[in-house]
Amino acid sequence: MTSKPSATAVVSHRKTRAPLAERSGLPQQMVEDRPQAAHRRRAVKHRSSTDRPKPAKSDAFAARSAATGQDSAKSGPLSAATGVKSRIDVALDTARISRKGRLYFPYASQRILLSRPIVRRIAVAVFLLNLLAVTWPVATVFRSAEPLVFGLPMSMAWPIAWIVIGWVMLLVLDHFEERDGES
Amino acid sequence: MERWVVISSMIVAYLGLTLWVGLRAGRGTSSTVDGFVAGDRNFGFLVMYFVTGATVFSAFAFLGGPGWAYSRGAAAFYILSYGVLGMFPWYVIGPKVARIGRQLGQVTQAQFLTGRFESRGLSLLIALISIAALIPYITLQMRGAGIVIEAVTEGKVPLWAGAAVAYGIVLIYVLVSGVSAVGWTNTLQGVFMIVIAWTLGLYLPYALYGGIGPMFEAILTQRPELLDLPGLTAAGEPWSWAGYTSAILISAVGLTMWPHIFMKAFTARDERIIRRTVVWFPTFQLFLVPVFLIGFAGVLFVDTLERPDFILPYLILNVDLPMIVVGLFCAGALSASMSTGDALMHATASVAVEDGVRPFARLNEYQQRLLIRVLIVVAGAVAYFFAVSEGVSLVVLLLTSYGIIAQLAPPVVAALFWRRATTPGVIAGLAAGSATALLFFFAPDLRPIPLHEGLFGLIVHVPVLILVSLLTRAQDPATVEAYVNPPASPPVKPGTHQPTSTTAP
Repeated sequence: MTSKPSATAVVSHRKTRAPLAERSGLPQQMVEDRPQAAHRRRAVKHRSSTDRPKPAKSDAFAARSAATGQDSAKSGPLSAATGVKSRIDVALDTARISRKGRLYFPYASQRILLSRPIVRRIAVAVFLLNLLAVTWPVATVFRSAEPLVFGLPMSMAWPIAWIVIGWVMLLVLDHFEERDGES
Repeated sequence: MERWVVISSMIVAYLGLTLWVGLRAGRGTSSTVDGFVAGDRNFGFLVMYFVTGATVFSAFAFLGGPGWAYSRGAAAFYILSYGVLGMFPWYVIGPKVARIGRQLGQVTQAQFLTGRFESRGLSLLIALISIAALIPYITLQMRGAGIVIEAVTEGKVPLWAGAAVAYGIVLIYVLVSGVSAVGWTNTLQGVFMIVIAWTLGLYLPYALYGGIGPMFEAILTQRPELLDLPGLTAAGEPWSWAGYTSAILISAVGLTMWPHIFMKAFTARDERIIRRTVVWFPTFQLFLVPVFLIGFAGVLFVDTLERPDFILPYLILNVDLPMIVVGLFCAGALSASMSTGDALMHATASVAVEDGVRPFARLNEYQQRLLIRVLIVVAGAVAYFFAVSEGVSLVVLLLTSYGIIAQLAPPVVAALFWRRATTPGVIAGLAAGSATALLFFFAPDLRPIPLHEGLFGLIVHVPVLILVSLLTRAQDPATVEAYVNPPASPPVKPGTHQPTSTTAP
């Protein structure tokens, strides 16, 4: 298994001008600077959703699996014990070294905290809440005109607020659907 | 120059602009059924956004919305509540429908359903339901256009002439350019609707009360019952929570099942555009806020109005507004009417030919397009006849049709997500649901609770669909798989319309 770069190693590489892969000591596939990553994401974003391939293992992960001959589902440090590839392992697999030599995890927050299935569940929950909120019996709590909210009666501001909440939820859902590819 | 002449000139200019856009829209479209009915499946995001928004919000919203706010108060807020709820499922269903339609060459809702549940009878049944629901809807739009023109020209242009001129222009551009004209004119009209609704919605409360807050404070003092949910009935009595809640539910279920909205899934360039349209739909939904503000502005300004739907024209003509504003109002109201009316006329004729005729008769491309064009004229003529006839209860017909249109939702969901659904199950469910909705509509005293008749229909529909499906033989796995788990495929090139399985041999 290829070792991950330590923080010390990252700092020591900052001031050198050697090629990025050489500086980091990692395989070329695992090293991708920010402009390259941004370009790749833009290319994926503009590709039609109908012909977009299923999300695949990251290049770095594929390279490491090929080099070590390990099964992708059993490659991470956590999965070594559990036999199941954890989200943290996935995030570690997508680690990148920036042009300045910093180690970063471009997809870590999404992969660990909010994956697409979780966002989908949240979206369904929000719209079920929306349904409950604007119909009997929950709507009876907000039936009164007072207090006025931004000059509008509460009974009108309540459904408007849910339109805005629904819009924000759709934006978040769409962001993850687009980022993680087609279902 | 007289006021009505100036306003009429502005209307003529607006109609001329719409006609020009509509005629130019069809120039890049192929001369095929796919091109005429589905725009070669090439609508981009901007057009899809305005097509969806402008089609959903019709003359009923532009004139009826203020009318409801004026006469029924908070009851109108149900219209605010169901739009986003109704659109959210389309985020999942719409792209899947588009993908299947692209693969199987489908352009209508019935073709989509009969592709999974093969039955010419089902195709005919859906065609009849759709046409029965669409004709009153077209009539309502025509009448709305005629009323607006008659009102602002001080009766110099009567309703029949106003409706004839506005829809004569619609007829020309739809006949020439098909759904492409619908798309591009809806874009123009959608912009007009939004700009004019927000302008008037913010201006009138300030002009009459000094602001939105002062307006509602004044209403709270003098008519507090108007602002408490669930509002009032048309008779002025308090509306029931059952009625309010079921109106939201049935409208949310039925929203994307209207044929003229469902069929737009087949026009999108790719699935991503449908998703983005759904994501941005709530911004169009907020167009209702100024519409309601206009209605509330009339509450204390106008004592009693025999027909509440006229509150907007009444305010426009009785508040001292510049002529340019009155002219723009006309453009907005006509936009709302025509943007829905053109999609409805196009959908009615397309459904009649593709679902009512083609399963039973062999037609080539030329004959299909010709027949669709002829039926667009026929649908327009029938609707026009009702629009200029007095004493026809259109609202009654429209409300009934919403309950029936919602019955198309269970078959669509079953087609996409339930492997065990069968053709007999779907036909039995559709028949039972529609019959129940009609029964409770014509005999409202039989309802155990005052819910919308369409909800009773769904309560009967779903168990019948499930039960009959489980009692009948399961479908061919290949057919089921094509719907439940459709593979991604490259886009079909324009002009390669494929016949569906329901075409007569």
